[in-house]
Formats: sequence, C-alpha cells, structure tokens
Amino acid sequence: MGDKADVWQGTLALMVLKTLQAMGPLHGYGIARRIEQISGDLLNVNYGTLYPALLKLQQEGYIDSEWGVSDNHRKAKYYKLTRAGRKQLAKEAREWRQATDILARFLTEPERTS
Amino acid sequence: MRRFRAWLVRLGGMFRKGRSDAELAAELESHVQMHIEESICAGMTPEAARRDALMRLGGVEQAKEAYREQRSLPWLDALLQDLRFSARMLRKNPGFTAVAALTLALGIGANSTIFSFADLIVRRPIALPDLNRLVAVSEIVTSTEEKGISPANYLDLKAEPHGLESLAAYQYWSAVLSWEGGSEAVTGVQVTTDFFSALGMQPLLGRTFLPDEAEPGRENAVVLSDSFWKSRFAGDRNVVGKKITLNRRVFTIVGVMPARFTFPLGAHLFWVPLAFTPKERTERSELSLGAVGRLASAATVEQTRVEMQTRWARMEKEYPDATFGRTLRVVPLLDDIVLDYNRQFALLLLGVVGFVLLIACGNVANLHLGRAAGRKQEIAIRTSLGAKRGRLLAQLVTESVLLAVVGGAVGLLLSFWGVHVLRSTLPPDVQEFCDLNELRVDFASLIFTLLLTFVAGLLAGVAPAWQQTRDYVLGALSETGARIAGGRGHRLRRVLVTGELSLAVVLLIGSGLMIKGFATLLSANPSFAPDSLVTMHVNLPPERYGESNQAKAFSDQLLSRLQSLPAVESASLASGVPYSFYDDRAAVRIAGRVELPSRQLPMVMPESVCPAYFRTMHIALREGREFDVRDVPSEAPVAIVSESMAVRLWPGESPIGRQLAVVTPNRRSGAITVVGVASDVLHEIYDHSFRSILYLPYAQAPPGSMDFVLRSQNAGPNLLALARAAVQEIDPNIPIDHLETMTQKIANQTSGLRYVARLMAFFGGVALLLAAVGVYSVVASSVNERRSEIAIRMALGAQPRDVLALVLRNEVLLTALGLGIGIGLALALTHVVAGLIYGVSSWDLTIFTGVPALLACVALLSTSIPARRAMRVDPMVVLRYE
Repeated sequence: MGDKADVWQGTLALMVLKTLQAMGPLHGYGIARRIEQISGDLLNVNYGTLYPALLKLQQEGYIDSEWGVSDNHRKAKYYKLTRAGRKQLAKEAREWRQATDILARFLTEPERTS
Repeated sequence: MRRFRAWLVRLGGMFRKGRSDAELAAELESHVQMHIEESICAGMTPEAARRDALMRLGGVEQAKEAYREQRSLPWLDALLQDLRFSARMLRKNPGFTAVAALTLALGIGANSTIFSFADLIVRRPIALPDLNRLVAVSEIVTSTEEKGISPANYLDLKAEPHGLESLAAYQYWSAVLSWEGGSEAVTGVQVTTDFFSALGMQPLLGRTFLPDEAEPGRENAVVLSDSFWKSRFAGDRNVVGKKITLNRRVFTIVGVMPARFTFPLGAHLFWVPLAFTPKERTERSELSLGAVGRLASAATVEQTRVEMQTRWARMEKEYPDATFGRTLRVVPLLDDIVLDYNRQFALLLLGVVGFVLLIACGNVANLHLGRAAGRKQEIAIRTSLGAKRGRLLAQLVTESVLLAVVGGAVGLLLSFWGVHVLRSTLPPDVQEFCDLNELRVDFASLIFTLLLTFVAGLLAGVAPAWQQTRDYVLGALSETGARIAGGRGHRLRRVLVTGELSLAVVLLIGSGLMIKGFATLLSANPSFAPDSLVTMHVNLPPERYGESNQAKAFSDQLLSRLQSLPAVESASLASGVPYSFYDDRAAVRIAGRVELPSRQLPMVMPESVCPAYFRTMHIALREGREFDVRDVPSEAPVAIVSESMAVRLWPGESPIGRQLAVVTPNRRSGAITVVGVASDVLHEIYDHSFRSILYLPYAQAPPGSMDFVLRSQNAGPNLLALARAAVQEIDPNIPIDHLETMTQKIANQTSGLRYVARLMAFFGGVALLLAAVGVYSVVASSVNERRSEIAIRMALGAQPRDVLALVLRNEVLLTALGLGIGIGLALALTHVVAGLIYGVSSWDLTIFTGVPALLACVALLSTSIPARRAMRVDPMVVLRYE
C-alpha cells in the first residue's frame, strides 16, 4: 500500500462533499471506501485525517450527522449534506475545474523547438 | 463567517470532551467492524481481516488525537492548563506571590494614576460637547506672545462668519459681590449672548442670555455656576428670579449652569452679558477678550483659518497702527487649552512612573530567578517527560503574566485611591488648564492599565523564563547542580540589578535637579527679602475711576493710609510688581540716533512707580537719583532705567542725561530724560531673559493697573487684614486680589511645579527603595548559593575578611557600573527637565555626585546584611550537611 498516494490536503473535504451529494447520507467507512473506489484504488484515505475532516466540515456547517443503523444492522454515524454544503460544493467544484483547466492548458502548450 | 462559526463550535468543544470522546470511540469501532465484515465477505479469515483493518486505520490513538485537536482549540487548552498550573504555583508560594504582586501593583498603580492625570490635561482637559468643532480665535502680539482679541476686531470678524456657525467672546470680570452686612471680591466672566449656544450648553435651571441683554443698560442678568449656586444658594431650585449685587448694581439670576460646564477654565463663579460700550466698539488695540467659535457643519479648521486670515489681511491694511506686530491665530480650542508645556509635563511624569515600573519589573524578574534554583527539578522532570522548551517557556511566562494580572488588579485599586489623592492635593491653579472634576480612572485608563499589566508581565517574565529553560538538560536531575556557584542565572540577576540602579540614579538626579531649580527660582531676586514684603492688586472700577485724577486721588489717599499702618516701614505702588504677570511692552527711540523703522526699535517694559518704590522693594540705585516730589506733570519728563537696559542701549557709557521717547502703536511720547540707573529685577519667575525695565514716575505716567507694596518686618495676617480694611474704608466696592506676602506670591506661582517636583521626589524614593531591595535579594541569594564554597574556603584557612572581600568585590563593581550608566543616562535625559523650567540646569555638580553617593551608600547597606551572614558561615555545619 506504500505506493498509494495519500489524499492531498484540502481536496479531501471536496471529495467528501461530492461523495455525500452522489450517495446521500453515508457513514465514515462508506465515505472512505467510496473515495478509494472512485480513485481506482489509487488513493488511500488515511482514517486519522478522515474523521477530523468530517468534524471540521460539520463545525463549518456543511454537513450534519446522526446515528443510524447500517445495512448489516450495525450502529453507525451517518453524515449528510446541508444546504450550505451543497452551495459550498458547487463553488469549490467550479473553482477546481477552473484551476485544472488552466493547468491543463499550460501543460499542453507545445514545447518550443530551438 | 463560516470560520467564525467553526471557531465558536470548537470553543464549545472544549467543554464537552467526555461525551464526544465516547462517541468517537463508538464511531471508530463501527468503522473497524464494517471493514472486518467486508474483508471476511471477501474471503479473509477473521484474524487477517482484523489485522488488515487496524493497519489501514493507521492507529486508533493517533486518529483520536488528530480528532481532538480539530474538536477544540489546542492552544487555548494549553493556555488554560498553564493558567491553572500557574495559579496553583502562585498559591503554593504565598510569600513570593504577595511580594511580587505588590511590587508590580505599586508600579502599575503609579502608572495608571499618572496616566489618568496626563490623559486629562492632554486629551480632554474640558468636557464640552463636540469639542473638536470649537475653535479659538485670537490676535497674537508677536513680540510678547500676548494673546487675546480687541472688541472692534472681534466685532468685524463676527460680522462675516467665515465658516463659523457662531463666534462668541468672553472677558474675565473682577467684581465686588455685596450683600447686607458684607462684601467679597469675586471673579466672573462677561460673555456675548451667543456664548452658551456656541459652546453647545444648556442651563440646568432657567435660561441663558437673550440677544437684547447685550445692550448697555440691559445687561443686569446673571447665570450662576454650579459651585456658586451650591455654595451661596445651597442648591436652591427656586433661585431663578432672585437678585445679587455686583459692583453696586443689581443683577437678576436667570439661570444656573450644570457642574460640568467650566468654560473658560479657572475659578470664576458666574457669567454676565458682555455689553460693548460705544467706546469699546472702536477699541482695536486692547486685547481684552477671548473668542471661541463653532465651525459651520461643512467647514474645516483649515478652511476657516484661511478665510479669517484673508479678512485679517484686509484689516491690517485698514488699521495698520492697531494691527501692528500682531497676527491672527485660529486653532482648535483643545490646542488653545493644551499647551506644549502641558504635554511635556505629562510626558515627563509618565516617563518618571515608567521608570518606576521598569525597576519594579526588574525586581520581580529577580524574584523569579531567585525561585529558579528551587524549580530546577520540576523543570527537569517535565523535560524528561517530553515537554518541549517552547511549552516550558510558555508556562513560565504565563505564570509571570498571571502574577502581573494580580498586581495589575491591585494596582488599579491603588490608582483609584491615587487619583483621589491627586484630586485633593493638586494645587488649585491646575484648574487653569484642566477641569479637575473630570479627573478619574476612565475607560482609557482601564485599557492602559490592562495593556501595561501584560507588558509588565512579559518584561518581568520573559528573561527569567528564557534563562530557566536554557540548560534544562544539563545537570537537571542532580541535586548538586543547584549548588554550582554563579551560573548564568546569576549573571542575569546582576544585569537586572545594575539596570535598576541606573534607572534609580536617573530618577533621583532628575528630581534633585528640579528641587534645586526651585531654590534657584526663589532666590532669583535675593535683595527682595520676600517675607517682609506685602503686595496687593487693586482693580479700580472704570465707571467711577475712569479719569486719571480720580485714580490718582484714590491711590494718594490709600498710600498715606497704608504708610500710617503700624510696623509699616514704607509703602508704594507700581503698575505691576515682579511675579504679578504684569507684562507690558513698549518700543523706545533714543534721541540722537539714526531713525530706525518702528518694527526694529528696542522693546522695554515700561513701569510707572511711586517715589518710595525702590526703597520699599530694596532695589538699589546704581547711578543718578530716585524719583521724588519734583517729578510732576508740569516738570520735564524723567525716567530711571534698569542696569540691563542701560548696558543694552548705551553700551560703555553712562545713560544719565540721555533722552529717549516711548513709542506705542497709537502715539509717541515727548523726550524723556534718564536720571537714574536701578539694579536689575526679575519680573518673571520662569523667564529670566528679559530685564530691560523703564521706570517712569507715577505722577507723569499714570499706570493702567495698580499693585501696592508694603515693607514691614511684621507682615503677618494681621497686617494683611489692616491693608484690606484700609482699602474698604475708602471704598468698600473695590475688588482686591493677590493680597499676600511676596513669599506667598512666589509659592502660589510655583505651586504646580513644586507639586511635580514633590511627585518626582516621591517616585524617586520608591525607585530607591525598590533598587535597594533588588540589590539585597541578589547578594543574599548569591551568598546562600555559595555557602559550601565559602565553607570550603574557610576550612582551608580563609579569614572572614577574605570572605567579605569575595562577596563584596562583585557587588561593588556592579554598583559602580550601575551608577556610571545611570549618570550617563541622566546626562542625556536631564536636558528635558532643564528645558522645561527655568532655573533647572542639566548639570549640577552637587546633584550629580551627591545622588550616586547616596545610592552607593544604600547599595552598600543592602549588601552588608547578607555579607555579614557570609562571614558567619560555620564550615563544619555546612560541610556536614553535604
């Protein structure tokens, strides 16, 4: 697992928000698995950063949590997107797309031949 | 906004640790279980699935720790922890805590008291609404800096508003308040009818003045000040409509102003309408009024100044004589009240108490270091348990700041008391430049105290904390580590004590110079013998004494009565005696010299005197003759000049027989012949530079004002009462003021400065005491730590004398160094004091040697107690203890 990249600082929050938008209310384990799956198992969600990140999002009011029961009848804490979270997701996604577009254009610039 | 919300939630998180810890544990547990179940489903054995889950989870405890940090505010957590620990440490050492906190309380209390006073005299000397919209308008005589505005010029400026909403004028008015069976000289203010509205003040009772009360003959209305109302009418709420008699005229009370209204500053009791007489309406040379204006809503001070000065330039062309040598000044009212002088004094006092606080901080830092030895083990243990240096530093500094907060709280209480003491002991003439009722510990003082508390805590705490955590690895856990002689801690303590001594030297030299300066002021006119000289200022009401023969008749009558009083050697009168604020100037033209333009003529102080003046004042005549009965209006005009004037105008020759003419803006006198030269007299207490006095005989040059002088070897209260009675027998309705001996006059005029000097001496004493305590504690602890060294030396044959030398050698060097630095600093700083008060010089041999000698003695005395203890060390006892 050493060759799997840890999630970049700052992008985890965005991934969490997107995951909750796509999947609806979900517990921490589910979120982690989903992010790992989407990344094609290239990313490894460090659990020690996942829970503080969830807490931070909750403190900022972007997500909400409540205890529920999982598919296999296990008690689990479920997180869900709030209205503010939805807005924040749209905003951050837009910003990311812009940033990556710019970078992409930069990197596809043909090399000068001299 | 989101961040703030998160911050609030985290702040809240600090108080719900238990519950959310359990919640997180449950959440992590369910996470692990889900992972295991899925792995089992994928075909792993339960054991392998569990191992894999825990590996992936990356350590439950680390996850919990990271979570906790996000949950609350770790630095705040640490701070609270430090505070709790510090409080425990301070409680555990009540002796140390009390001494250190009280030392800081003294320093902080002194600072916040003086700050309250400085803030009052510099920033808010008077409580007027919209003070920043008020401007003072005045004409300034460039040669004397005399300030005021003449009635006609005022009326011209008022006629065109120039960005002012209103322009009001006022004038002090000495009057005799009389009632059935008594009378008293009082001071009031004559004001234009728009005065109160220009200042934005409403009366407490009744009304202010109506426009038609400004007409001559209708000005019989009076508005009382709060103090007058309370003292004379016992705060009677039905006072409006009652009558009082001023200068034999009846005035109807129309209103009472609230206590906070004290404009213009000073000890006046009431306001009456200012009704210009036709003569006054054309008066352009007498600067008899003060003017205050309120800016129109859109105007700025600069615009108004430019506009008014344009108008002034026109007036200069129209009335070149009356405006000669004058400029128009338009400044914010606050700048008119707060002089540079007041600012400098405020700074001086703040500097003084600032030094006291620095010394106090030095002492507390010393106390911290003194405890360092005993805390070595504690710090060592905490280090070995993993505390980082930053954390230890933070903890020690927190402790110092907490100590300062305790000291600051006590200091704040002290400052409430201190402000009270200031208010009741400040000399009354302070009221001339601030409203003492407004002196209190206000919000600004609180903020200042708070800031100062933190600064003091840091000042006292950072260096010792740095020192204590510096070699925390070295020798930490070994008991003998504590007994290694003279470590770095000691070096720091010596530096601190040296600094304290230097500051104390500066303070004491400063206050010494001030006290010495007063002695110089008081002995400036040594020939006066001020104890046996009585002076009295008489205000002749112009209504009854406007003609010069009326005034002459009065003064002749009074002089003969005064001369016949028991024990009076001689009596005389002058237009203004020295130290009476009399300050007239006139240009002189010397006969037979090249005609200079009037602006370049030499200026002198003309003074009309009666023949006996020189004898009464003990002013020696150097040449020629005194005035006598020959010098009457019908004879040729004569003059006596002061020595300085003689030397200045006729260098190298005798002025006797020379002629000169006095030139004022309005006229030029005929030729006056000099008949005598009198020795110099200083007229100003603080400015000794001007000594050119031109004495004129009273009969030939009737004075505008009258100061009577009496010489008597028995100048007690009895004589003062007799002098007052003599005036009242002639006319009971003549206001008398400044009836006092010359000694009292000098004391009254210097009371503000004497007060400052006393304050400085007091704080100097506090500084001395603190420094002495500092020296003592350093030497004492040094002796204590070196007991075993001393014991070994003694066991090897050292005599008590050698031990004494060992202990003293360092301290003597330190004291010498501290004193040397102090003297250097004092030399650099004392010119500030010297610039403030005439008579205070920045160099004075006795003070610059006496003060260090005194401090050296005190330092030696503080050293002697622990040194004697060192000499009595019993080697057997100490070494056995090892």
